[in-house]
Amino acid sequence: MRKILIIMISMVTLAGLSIGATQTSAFTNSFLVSSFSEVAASRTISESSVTSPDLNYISHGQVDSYVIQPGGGAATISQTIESTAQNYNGLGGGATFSSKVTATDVTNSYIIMKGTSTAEVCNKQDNSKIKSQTFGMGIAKPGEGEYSFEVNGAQKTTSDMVLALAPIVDYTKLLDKELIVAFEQIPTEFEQTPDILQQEVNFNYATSNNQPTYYGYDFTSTIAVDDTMCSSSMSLSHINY
Amino acid sequence: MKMLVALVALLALVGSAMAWDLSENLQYTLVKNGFEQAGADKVLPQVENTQSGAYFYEPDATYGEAWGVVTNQLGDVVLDRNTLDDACRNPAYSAADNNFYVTLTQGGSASLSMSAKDTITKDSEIVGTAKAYQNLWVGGEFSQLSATFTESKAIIGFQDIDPASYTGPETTNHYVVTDTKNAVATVDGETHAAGYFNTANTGVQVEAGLDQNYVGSGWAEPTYSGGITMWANFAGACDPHCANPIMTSVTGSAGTGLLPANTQEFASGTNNQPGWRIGDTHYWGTNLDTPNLQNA
Repeated sequence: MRKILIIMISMVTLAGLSIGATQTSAFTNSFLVSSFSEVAASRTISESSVTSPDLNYISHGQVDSYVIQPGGGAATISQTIESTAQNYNGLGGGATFSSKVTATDVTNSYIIMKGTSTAEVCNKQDNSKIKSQTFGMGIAKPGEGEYSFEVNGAQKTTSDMVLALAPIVDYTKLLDKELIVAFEQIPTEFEQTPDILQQEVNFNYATSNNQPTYYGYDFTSTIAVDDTMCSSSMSLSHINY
Repeated sequence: MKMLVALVALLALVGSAMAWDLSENLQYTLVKNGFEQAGADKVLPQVENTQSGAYFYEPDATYGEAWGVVTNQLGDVVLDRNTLDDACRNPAYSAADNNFYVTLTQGGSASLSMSAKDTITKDSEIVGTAKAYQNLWVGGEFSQLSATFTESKAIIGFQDIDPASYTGPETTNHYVVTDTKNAVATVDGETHAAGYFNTANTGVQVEAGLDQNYVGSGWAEPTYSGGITMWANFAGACDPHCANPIMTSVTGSAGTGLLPANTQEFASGTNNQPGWRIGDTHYWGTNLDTPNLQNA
């Protein structure tokens, strides 16, 4: 009886110890500045994949923002996509999507964010290497006026798994997860064209120990018309403990 | 052997509790600032009849479908900038010489936390609060202000509660609602020619709460709470009639109760906001067309 208990406690303790872990993060930013345009639109795409002996991970994120300025106006659109994943005490990670728009003479605006992440905790194909790839792209539609556009991004992957030709751990059951998230703002139409529109949306989610643990977003908006300024904000969070 | 069983049971209990516990938190604000130069009289239409609100809906909450709703609406605002009162006395100020400012703030919050049934701790399994508020601030010289807060409403609770999760009178809906209609706040220095104001701050707030604990082998009686708070403050000069009274008043009433009736469904019953859909979260505001949001 005592041996069984000791073995049981040992197993529980062992399960809590890491036998090696891989973690990865990637981001893509874009920044568009346009002037005297009838439309300003930006799409940012970020893709990241990691293959290591203990983690297969693929993520895809996209943020679209546009404003329509029929009479011609100035606009800046800043977008960010960040994603993280790790295999440490179970699959975990998350993603953040952000859009910040400042524009003049706007009649319509729209923001949409999408993300897909797929992860599994071991790589049956090749235990001899760690391979990571990232892809970031920005697409701008600045209209007729002058504009500038820039995109940058990075990815970092670290692992303390021991590389070997033979599997280090024989997982009898693969654990895999796919998570799809989306945020869509109902397109906004203005009855009276504001002098300035500023709005920012941050949307993010997180997973831990193989389970979704959090999702939420915050939204801020400022609209100025003549001598009236209207600011509004909203935040929502959903937490699983 | 008993220790082994206890250990396994404890691990299972921990795993179960982690899967059941969740919380929803919602906040929103809408702030509208207006400014007019001296001599103009177009400030109040910029804030009158502003309405805003937000709600969350979680279809997979622990004890049913969870709702939190907060809404506000400002109605008419009467502001007297006349230089003469009814008795033709003349307070020493001039609308023509003073700029005028107005700030309307509407906001609210709703939170609802749910945890697994647990008789070990005294913490309640269900704790929910909702609060809606609006505040009207005006600055510039004036003699009288009266604001009608058409509605402030706070709702927190569940619908489609799993019958297996409760005992007692059957109900599938379980909301606490506090609602106020046409609450009026007034500051008045004109009636008795007491002077004029530089600023005034008026507002209303409603709250609703829900608390329920699992004890022994069943639910304890739930605790419902709610209330209304109103205010009307001012700052100004008493020139030239310091001895005369300045009047302030707030009038409003609020009801807290369970809504809707047991047979009603929330989504089709009490709300009339356009664009509401099951399974989403919305923010709305009128005037200046502040945008709606949804998470799809």
